[in-house]
Amino acid sequence: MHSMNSALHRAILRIAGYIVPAEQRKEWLEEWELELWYVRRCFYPGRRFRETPTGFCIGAFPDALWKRSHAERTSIQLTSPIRSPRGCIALLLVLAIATMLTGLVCPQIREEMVPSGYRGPHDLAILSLSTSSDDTQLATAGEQYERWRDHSSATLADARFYEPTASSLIIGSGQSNLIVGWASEDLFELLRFAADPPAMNFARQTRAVPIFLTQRAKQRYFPLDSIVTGRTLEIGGRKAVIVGTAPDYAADLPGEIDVWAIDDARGMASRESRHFAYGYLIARLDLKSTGEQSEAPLTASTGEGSADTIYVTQLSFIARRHRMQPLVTFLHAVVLACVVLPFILSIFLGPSADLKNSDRRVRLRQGLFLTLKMTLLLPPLFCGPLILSRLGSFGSRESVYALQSFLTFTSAIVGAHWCLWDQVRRCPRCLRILARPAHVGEPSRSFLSWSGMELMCLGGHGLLHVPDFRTSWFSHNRWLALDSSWRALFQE
Amino acid sequence: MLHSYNVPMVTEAKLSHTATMILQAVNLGYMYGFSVMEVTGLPSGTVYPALRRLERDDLVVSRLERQSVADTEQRPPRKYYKLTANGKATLESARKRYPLLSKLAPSDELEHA
Repeated sequence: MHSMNSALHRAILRIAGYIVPAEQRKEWLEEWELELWYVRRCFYPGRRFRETPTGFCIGAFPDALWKRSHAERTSIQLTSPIRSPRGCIALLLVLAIATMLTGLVCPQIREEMVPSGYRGPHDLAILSLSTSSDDTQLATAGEQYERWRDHSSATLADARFYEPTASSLIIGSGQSNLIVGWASEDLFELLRFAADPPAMNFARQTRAVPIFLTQRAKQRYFPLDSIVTGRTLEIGGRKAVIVGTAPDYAADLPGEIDVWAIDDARGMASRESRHFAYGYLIARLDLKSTGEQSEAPLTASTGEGSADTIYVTQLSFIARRHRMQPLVTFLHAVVLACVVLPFILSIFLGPSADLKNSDRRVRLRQGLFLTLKMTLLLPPLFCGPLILSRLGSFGSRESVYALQSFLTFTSAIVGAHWCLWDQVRRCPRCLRILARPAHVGEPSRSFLSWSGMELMCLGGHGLLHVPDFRTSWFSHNRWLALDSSWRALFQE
Repeated sequence: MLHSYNVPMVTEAKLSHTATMILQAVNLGYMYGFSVMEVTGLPSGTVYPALRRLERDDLVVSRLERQSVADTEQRPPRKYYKLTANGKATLESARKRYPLLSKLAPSDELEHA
């Protein structure tokens, strides 16, 4: 035990030691280890000194941070990995891989990053009065169901209706709100939901509502339970029994249903007869007449006039749209950021170096480096906001995509700004970050004498002059290239 | 015409209560980090950075004990701190701001350093 504690204390001090500049680390570590000897010897209950050896070691972190903040060349030490172009690219590569791996670890996010194909039945279709990429626009009134319920044609048959309603769910002592999709039992036959017969019998005997949990609701309310069938809950003030779990493709049905509930015939009849009832119509599609690969919206008619024409959208088509949504949201946000970027950069980036007269190869290398940086930023830009918007979020699909869009847009602006700002502060020849900033001159009352910042390439390729004020005769940063005769004065 | 004004600046470091307490402890003879922690009751994360600040501001100086002395007493060497003349003057003026600090520790509890 004692040796374990000693190892722990040494490990804490060593970790803190990495904060201290390398040239002072050994001495700093020795000092803390010497003091730790006294703390260990003097720590026992009842003594005035109450800090434990572990607490003492944790106190090394503020001291190490102080050492770091007061050490010379701090910024150089901290930014050293990205000073060279290779280090910068390597760091961005690590960031890209790390964000992608983080997303792939979580199954829910992996499904959105690398969507699998639609695995549900292809003969299901949603009937709606209009076509739209927005699921809520596919909703229809209950009266439409009355018209289409008994419709049977070569294309469509078995039209069914379900109504999403907001209800409260009580499990044990906990309560939360969710969306319940109420439907008659034949809808679930159409959807091919498999109910557990004993649980179904138990629900009938106890006059409880039989319900199917969606995968999302199961993860949310029963994350640790492998079997949930037969459990009793309370939904909207009514006792309910879980009779099964909805298959994956149920998540693609419009309405963002959390729990599917089987309503009795009387309850369903009252839902359908209400003219203000709002829900979704689903029907079986005859693939022989429509063509199995056809996913474009179709129209169907009751044959009693154009007023009864309805749009038919295959569930597989909606599912594919859902799977593409994260990528589409990302692309929209990036394009929007590209439009806004020039205005933001002109305000915040300041003057860039005028390299019109520089060598074509130099400009090509700079362009390639910038393109590579921006390309490597794309994976973190896609994965980062995707992960953040899904973490702990149980909001509607629209709110999740809105958050992803906002985060992507903001990150794209910040990322692009960093890429260009990083480009400005690098030597055009060797692409290393310029160093040794020195202020030259004093602000002139007449603006006729130059004052500004001079930065140096440590490879001796030249000096960058950044003006304090933009004037008509010095509006851009100027790069003063030095020939090879100057190299002897520089470090390399 | 250019005018230059050379006004001698009187610089007297204004110490926080914690820094004054540590300076007072060193002055009382608690001359190494661990003993300062013990007498002031302050955590290590406060005492050691504060001692470094005091040393940077030339209020204390530090020296590492000779290995031979530590070996004789069969313990690791200590890093001792001692007040400079500037430190003594600063402590004197800080005591006026924090009069209760004079009650910090009785000197009979001092370990022989």
